[in-house]
Amino acid sequence: MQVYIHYPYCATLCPYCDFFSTTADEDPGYQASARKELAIWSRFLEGPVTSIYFGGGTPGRMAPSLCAALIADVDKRFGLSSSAEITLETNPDDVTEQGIRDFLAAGVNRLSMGVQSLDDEELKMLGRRHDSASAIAAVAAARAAGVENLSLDLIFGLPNQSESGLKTMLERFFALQVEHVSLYGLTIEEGTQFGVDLAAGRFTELERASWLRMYDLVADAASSHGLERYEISNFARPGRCSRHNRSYWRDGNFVAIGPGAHGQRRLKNGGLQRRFNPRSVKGWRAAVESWDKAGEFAPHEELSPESWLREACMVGLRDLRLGIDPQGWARSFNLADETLMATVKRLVECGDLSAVAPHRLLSKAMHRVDAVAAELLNA
Amino acid sequence: MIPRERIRNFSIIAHIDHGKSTLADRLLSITGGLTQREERAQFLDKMDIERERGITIKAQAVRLSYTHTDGLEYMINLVDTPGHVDFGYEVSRSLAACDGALLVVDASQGVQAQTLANVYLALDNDLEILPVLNKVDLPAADPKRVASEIEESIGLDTSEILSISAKSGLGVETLLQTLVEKLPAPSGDSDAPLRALIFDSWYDPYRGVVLLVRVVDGKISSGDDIFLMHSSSKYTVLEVGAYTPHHSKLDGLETGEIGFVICGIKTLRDAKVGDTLCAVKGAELLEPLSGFEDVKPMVFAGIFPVESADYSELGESLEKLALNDAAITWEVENSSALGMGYRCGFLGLLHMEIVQERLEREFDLDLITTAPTVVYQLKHPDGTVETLDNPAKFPNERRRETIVLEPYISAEIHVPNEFVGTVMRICQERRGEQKEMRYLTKDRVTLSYELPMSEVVFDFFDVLKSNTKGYASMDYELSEFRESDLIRLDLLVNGESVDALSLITHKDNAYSRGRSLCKRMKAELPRHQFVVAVQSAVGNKIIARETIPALRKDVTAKCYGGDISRKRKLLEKQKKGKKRMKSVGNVQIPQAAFLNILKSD
Ligand SMILES: Nc1nc2c(ncn2[C@@H]2O[C@H](COP(=O)(O)OP(=O)(O)O)[C@@H](O)[C@H]2O)c(=O)[nH]1
Ligand code: SF4
Repeated sequence: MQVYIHYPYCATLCPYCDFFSTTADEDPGYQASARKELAIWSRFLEGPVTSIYFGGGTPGRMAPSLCAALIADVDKRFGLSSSAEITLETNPDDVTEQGIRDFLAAGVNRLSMGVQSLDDEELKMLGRRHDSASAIAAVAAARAAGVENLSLDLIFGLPNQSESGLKTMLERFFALQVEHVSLYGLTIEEGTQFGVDLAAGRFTELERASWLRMYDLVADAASSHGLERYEISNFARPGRCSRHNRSYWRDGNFVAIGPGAHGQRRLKNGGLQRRFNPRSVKGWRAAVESWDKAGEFAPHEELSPESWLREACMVGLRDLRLGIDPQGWARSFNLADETLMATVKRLVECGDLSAVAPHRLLSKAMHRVDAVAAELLNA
Repeated sequence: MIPRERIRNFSIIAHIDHGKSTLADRLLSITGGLTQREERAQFLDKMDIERERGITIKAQAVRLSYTHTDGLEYMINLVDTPGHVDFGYEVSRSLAACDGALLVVDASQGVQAQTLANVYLALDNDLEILPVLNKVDLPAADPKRVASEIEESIGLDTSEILSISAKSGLGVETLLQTLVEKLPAPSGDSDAPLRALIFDSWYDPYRGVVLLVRVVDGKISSGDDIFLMHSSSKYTVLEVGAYTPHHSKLDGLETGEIGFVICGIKTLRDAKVGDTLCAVKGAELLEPLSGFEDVKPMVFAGIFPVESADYSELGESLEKLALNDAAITWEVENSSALGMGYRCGFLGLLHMEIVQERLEREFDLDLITTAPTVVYQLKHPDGTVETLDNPAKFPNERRRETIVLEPYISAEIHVPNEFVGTVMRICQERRGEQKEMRYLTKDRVTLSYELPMSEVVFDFFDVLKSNTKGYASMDYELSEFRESDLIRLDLLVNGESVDALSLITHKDNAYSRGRSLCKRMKAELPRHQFVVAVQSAVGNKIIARETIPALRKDVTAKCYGGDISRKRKLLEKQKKGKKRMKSVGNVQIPQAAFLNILKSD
């Protein structure tokens, strides 16, 4: 079982970001509501918790004491596994050596830092407050504080980005020798500043072909620095894959705390129920109160076993090592889903998936992962 | 048996929505033809599609029994006529079966062009016309004005015009009385050899083809050996009867009566509307009844299965459909873009839509219909004339001496005064030539135009309606073939010409047409994994171009909790969009695009 805690506060807003984030000060009721929400979830789900993920927003801006209180609560309510992965997201300009020490003391054992790029022009364009020098300094500070499991976010595919520029930047990036890299191919979402700029014609998106070449460049650079692509957009040194990243959808039990967070629980028949939190602090706090009173799980979305199976394939496909085992999954709750199996068979035949279960996405289909996922999803 | 003097055969002429169906139902219920449950549904419109579109396609005839205030019983045969210009010939045959007609005009709307056209048809058939004002219950009704309009535009005496409300029943009794008094009884010679006019026919899955006939002379009975004069085929009568409105068997039909004949005909092609039915014996001595015409399709389009494997099923379905649609024609068409399909001929665009809808609904086929086109003629230097119903066959490099002819129609457009300018502009844009402008009354105008049929076929009527707040009405007939400077416009998708998207257009319109086609196509095409270019060309010359940017890249990072259901929805959407697409090369073209790109902006 896993816990995701959303801390929505950021120093400034980035123009590409469509997570729920705000520059307001922390709501004085945030902690109380988050803890109450944990308590409510514990009526529906049991531990032990194998991973806690503080995402945002910028949870690195929260008081380490808040972080400690939440971790303690998770342990109290569900029981925290001794080997649990506890990740905290932060941004380079929110990092201080002492701050990180405090988070580590609170229980955090993995840091994910929003470096995004080491090209100052690009960082400016992305609306980040840090430059490459301060990013490098922040990595050093984290190391000095004792972070052993460090992940960096990397963005590629900016309008006007050139392949040669990317290549040079990647050399510097991977020279930082981190354990894990989360890659984000920039897509421009409606409702973000970039979306507005694109619609207004202030820039054009990269052509798909060159976008894909850049994706391959990142993969090559990662592997030559000893990071393996274990997931479509995640790279890690051996043994450093993000546990949170890989297994929350397999398990299916997933506590979600904070505004905009989505949680879910698995049903005995193999189906799934989800709850979606409102994307505003106020709305979320009110929702927590009314959920408390309701006393029921009150899902916002419910998936049948068949739908869950398809969705699990859609997500599982991205895990390049573990792959998908729809037949085995279906069997585990006595389901024979022939249409889905027929689709899997067809995808195997055309060389998109490996032949034996668990089926892995083959490199030929790497660029079409969503198309393959759509086939499985809509089988 | 009711003597011939007490038979009345008539139909109702009315513009769409002026209340024909309501009045017919009212007549049925007053004369006791329908149970209450049946009254709820408009009985005369049988087919689903007709009901949904609110139009009558197939004529029907019902026999009612009415006791007049003179104490005598009358047989009243109400013949229902199709309400759309596409089915003009069927209207004319239905009217030929009648001796009189009720002209029903909405008292709040006034006379419309289509009404006029049918009135003229009725007058041509020597029918006695009884004008009736309907919907007098409406506050907007202006019976006086509309009566004088009828008088001015048609020349009917309206001094004793009836005012009714078909909806409330007001005045309908009186209408029945008046109808019996004013409409003539059928003429004919009951001692002469049998001659009956087939004025409608349809296919019944249980009984085979049902003929609706009007017995002009003599008598027809079950067991008679009969002969169809134009089809030259013989049958034995299995059953005769009438619709009351229920199917009721009778021993025979007498002179002047209207009813059905069933004689084991297998397909509608063998039962042509307008044909004359007579006894086998002595048939060679008889003159056929006048007015027979072989109906010719006016509009052609390709129909292709989305899945090429459905080709043979489509053929079988067309066969079955033709059992009860005598007007459709088809032959095999092989398109390099769409594969095997059929080139089909229709009476008009409405007919085309109905056929496509029936094929999809009744036979569960997924179809692509290509742009409808009219029939052109190519006059070669050696004097031979070739007809051309498919733009793909239009010669790209035409010999200079070859002359292209295109069909023109004469249209009568009826509009309120205030829209005259608008209508003139629309007609002008479509290469129309104004012939005449008549004031029917001081604020109603009839414009006569000669228009190339190709400009009218697609959406002219819709455009006309939407630009005149729905007030314009139109009627047209084919007039002549004229020499015209036409060229073929091709559409290229990623450099490859898609034959099914070619069309024929006037040279002067080529550029604007080409540009709008590309724009439309851009709007219709989904994004692909690659950039798609759409071009239009005349011969080798590209005249317009649009590009459709590639799909957004689909490898993204970070799948937090909530992203899952969002992502799922995104991918599910992709699937829905993909349904009903046709691959042309490696480009997916949505089924509807083939027609939609022709629509005006
Ligand atoms: N107020 C009023 N409405 C009527 C009358 N007759 C028909 N209608 C309405 O006019 C519409 C069209 O009538 P319908 O009989 O379907 O017209 P058709 O297209 O000529 O068959 C329907 O909504 C009828 O209910 C009438 O006498 N008075
Ligand atoms: S710091 Fe992160 S969460 Fe905050 S706005 Fe920027 S990208 Fe979004």
